[in-house]
Amino acid sequence: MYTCGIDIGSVSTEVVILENNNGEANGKILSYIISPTGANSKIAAEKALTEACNSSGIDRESIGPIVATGYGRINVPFADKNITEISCHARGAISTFPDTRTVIDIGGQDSKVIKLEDGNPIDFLMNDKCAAGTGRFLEVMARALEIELDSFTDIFLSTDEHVDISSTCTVFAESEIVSLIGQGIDRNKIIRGLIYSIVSKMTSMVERIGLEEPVCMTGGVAKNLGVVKALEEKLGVKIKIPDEPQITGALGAAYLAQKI
Amino acid sequence: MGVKEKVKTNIQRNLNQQYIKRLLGIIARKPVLYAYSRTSPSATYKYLNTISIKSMQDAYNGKQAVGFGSLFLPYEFFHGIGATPFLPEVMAGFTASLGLADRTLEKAASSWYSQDLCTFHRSASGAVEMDIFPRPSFIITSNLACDAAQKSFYHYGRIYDIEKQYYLLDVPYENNPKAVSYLADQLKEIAGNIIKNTGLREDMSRLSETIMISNEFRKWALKVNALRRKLLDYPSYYNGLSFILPFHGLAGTRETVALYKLMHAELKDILKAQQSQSAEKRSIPKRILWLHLKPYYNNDIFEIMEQSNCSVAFEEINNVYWPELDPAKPYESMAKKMLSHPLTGKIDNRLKALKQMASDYDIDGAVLFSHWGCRQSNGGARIIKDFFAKKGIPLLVLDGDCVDRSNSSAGQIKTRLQGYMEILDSK
Amino acid sequence: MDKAFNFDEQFRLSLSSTKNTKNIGWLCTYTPEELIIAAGFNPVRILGSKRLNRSESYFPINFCPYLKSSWEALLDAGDTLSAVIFTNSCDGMRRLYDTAEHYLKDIPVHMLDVPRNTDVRSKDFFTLNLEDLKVFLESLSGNKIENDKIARAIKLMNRKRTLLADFSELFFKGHTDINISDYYKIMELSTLSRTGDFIPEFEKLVDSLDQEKNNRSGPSRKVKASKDNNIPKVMIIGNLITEEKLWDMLSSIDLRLVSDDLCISNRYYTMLVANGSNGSPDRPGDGSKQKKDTLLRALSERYLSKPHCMRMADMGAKVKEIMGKVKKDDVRGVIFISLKFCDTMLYSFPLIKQALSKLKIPVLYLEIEYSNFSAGQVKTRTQAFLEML
Repeated sequence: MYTCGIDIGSVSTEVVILENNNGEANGKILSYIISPTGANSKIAAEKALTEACNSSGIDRESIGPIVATGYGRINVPFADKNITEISCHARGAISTFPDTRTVIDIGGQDSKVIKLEDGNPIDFLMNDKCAAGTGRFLEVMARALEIELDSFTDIFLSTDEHVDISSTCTVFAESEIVSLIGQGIDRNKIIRGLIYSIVSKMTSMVERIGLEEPVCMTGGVAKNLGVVKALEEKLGVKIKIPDEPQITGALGAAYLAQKI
Repeated sequence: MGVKEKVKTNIQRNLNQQYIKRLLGIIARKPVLYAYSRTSPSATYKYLNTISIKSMQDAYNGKQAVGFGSLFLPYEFFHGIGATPFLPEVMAGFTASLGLADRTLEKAASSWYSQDLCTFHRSASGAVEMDIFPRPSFIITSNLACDAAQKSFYHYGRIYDIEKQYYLLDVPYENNPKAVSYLADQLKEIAGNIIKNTGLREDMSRLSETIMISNEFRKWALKVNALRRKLLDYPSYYNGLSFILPFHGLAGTRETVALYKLMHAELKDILKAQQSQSAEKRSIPKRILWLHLKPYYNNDIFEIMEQSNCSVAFEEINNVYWPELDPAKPYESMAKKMLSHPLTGKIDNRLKALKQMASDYDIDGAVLFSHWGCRQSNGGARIIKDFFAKKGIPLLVLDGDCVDRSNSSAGQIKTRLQGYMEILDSK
Repeated sequence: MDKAFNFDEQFRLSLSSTKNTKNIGWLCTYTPEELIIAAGFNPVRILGSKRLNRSESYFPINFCPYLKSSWEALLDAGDTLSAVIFTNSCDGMRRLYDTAEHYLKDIPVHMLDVPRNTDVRSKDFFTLNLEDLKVFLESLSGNKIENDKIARAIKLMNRKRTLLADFSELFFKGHTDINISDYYKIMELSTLSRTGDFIPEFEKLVDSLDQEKNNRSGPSRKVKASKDNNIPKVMIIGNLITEEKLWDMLSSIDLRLVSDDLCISNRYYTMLVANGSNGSPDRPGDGSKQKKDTLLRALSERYLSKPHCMRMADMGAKVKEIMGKVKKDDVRGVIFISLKFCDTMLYSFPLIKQALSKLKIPVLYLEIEYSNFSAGQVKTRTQAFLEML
């Protein structure tokens, strides 16, 4: 039997289909899909599930319990249960790194820090209502700088200098960047400054909850090694990253579905 | 459409003082009042509606001198000198539940009240600027709990042109004998001034009687709270966050005594029913201590909690924090009542009270509703969280806004609450 | 100009040289430095460190930036402070005190309760609270604070305040070319440096400026030019504004600052303590509390009568005081600048706005946060405002 986890975020939807090894804690990932959510999360969920089935070559019918998570979790008619991202990210993280104590997740419009004890979440914090310190913040800034977001890592590693970005507000930071470019300041320094700004926001969240090692980072922004490295520097710890950090929520959901 | 919905729509259409006065007159008539309260799930709630409406009607009719007061004043003072209290902060809650807050807040913004200020006070300020509240003869406020009350109330004095009748009770930081006499003297002086200016008369026997009635209310409130300790599942429709007006503004009236007596009788029956139910049929909900207030506009916070099998076992604001009052020394007693409030002075006073509540009500978890712009409460959130953590009780700091629906995201609140409940469940 | 910078340098040095002496931190202008000095300590104002690092995790996002940055400074204070004196000024300050008491166990803290009314009863009550502060300081130093020590400290502080007032008069009246940045830097330094060291150096500066003024017998070159060019006369009203970028920005544009009402200047130096020079000793057996505590009563009188913060009950009186200055200093435009999330300051704005509009004086409204200070945006808004004048 297979279980399925589906994470409908504001930006992307992820589906993970998991092989259930007779209820063993760690099953094998049969397939996963990452696709944009778009305007209708219901349609996105349906589409992503079909794709995942196709790519793994199994029937819809052979999938057992399905757990939905993410902001769109209540709009998934075929889900058997919906569970918050907090529990799912925690579960997803420990499936890869069983001894994880702190999960840092930076997603599209959401960032959170989850504290774990014996694999169970015991406390969490989520970002306040604005987009400061989220993937969206970096996206908007990349657009303002006319640079691909993917190149942030190389640029971060290529320089030691940075300018202070004083605004954490996305709107203000964007205009600040425009004026920094106007002043002829090196883009690479601005990018490093941006990364530090997002990292400082995350650091204060981590400190609010209390840092415990080992630390695992999930969510799309974990693919940005510049952010990871800066965060490691600031927190003074080594951060573990799953092979595909973006599917952690869906993966956790698929594991939690095994319990249904 | 139910009577409540009708009232809501009508008031939204005709938002002016005269209309509100007329409307209150209509609702206060028995048949309408009955219809208005028909949907209420309990006799207590019906009676709460009745006395709240009557209290508002008294203020709008203005037969007696009306005094504006901020939360946590000893309202025995108002009733003792024969004045009708009107609580703008409580009314701000009504602006939210009646769907008027958009307009009061907009008015406040256009009158240059910063968006960073607490929406209870901003909404009340907007309502005063719009002149939809009854006109007061005097205004009393204090620095107990927060700065925003005393500052916004100062504006009312200016707007109603009674700046000389604005009184700030300066509540000292510490509770000791010199503080008691400092505060009691202020109360006495204010009473003297109000009496001189309003034509009310000082009547020490009435004041003493009010104090005695207040003690009676205190006794029944304590009994209600004692029952709540035993209740396995406090019915959510008794939502304890709706009793602010009687608990404060009507303290010292016979109506409040009756209200708490009624609640005691009803809860007793509920307890009996719960106890006779066989143990295996029940799933005992997790017990939550609720800190600070709640959103007063339509929201599904408590439904979400119920769905996750969590129940608010007690609310911080229903804590009977004051000692029995001495009818022979009314001013001193009222001063002591204010000074024993856990939100005065150090946060340790609040922690001490919370610790007691956590053990009295056998709490599994606690939620601090972090109302936007409430410096005094949110400024201590970290300390409170760490304090509960040491006792192994997880605390959720739930960011939101009690009055301004647009300043709070229902989706975010839901995710945070459910995530928190999942944590409680896994414990 | 050069003088101001040397001055700056010198006092930064003098501050670092005070590291080994017993410093007591204070935050709010209602703290009587006189008592700290009388107890043999060196009062140092906590002005905060603008780069927030650890502090953010202790307070909500919408919390006073001054208090957050002060907390950062306290976390970094190490053993440079013997104690910190807080005042019951506002909600935020109460929570900062609690945070210090809970998380900063090594530094003794004291909360001074400051009344919000200014009648006789309040002044008597504040006198009692000053007595508590005195007891705290005595237990800290292990020595009794004699009345003659208080009298000497009062004299010293009166001297400092007189000099600051003289200096401000020279600055606002345009008798010196010292710019806005340097003026406020000196104001800040006056609360950071050892009072005994500060006074003689500062005296020299004020004397030389006085000399210059007398030699010139007229406004400074710069002011003359600004008068000729009709540059608008502006007043700043605000709370604890120490944003260097703001001062630099204001120095770089054409305006004449002729008056202010701020925590770091006017609210700090205006008004002296009465009887400072001839404080009477205790008279044992004298039943009258008033006489027994003459010096503390005099301190109470001064602190509850000085130019107030918006926290006080009677905001109307405060607004009247400001309007008095507006008229006296012939102000043509007001810049109202508040640190974000300061409830008491923000609530004063509708009153100030109304009073100013009666005088037909326009006001620019600014809210700033250290971490979010966008100099460019503030400059544009200020310039547009000045163009309007």
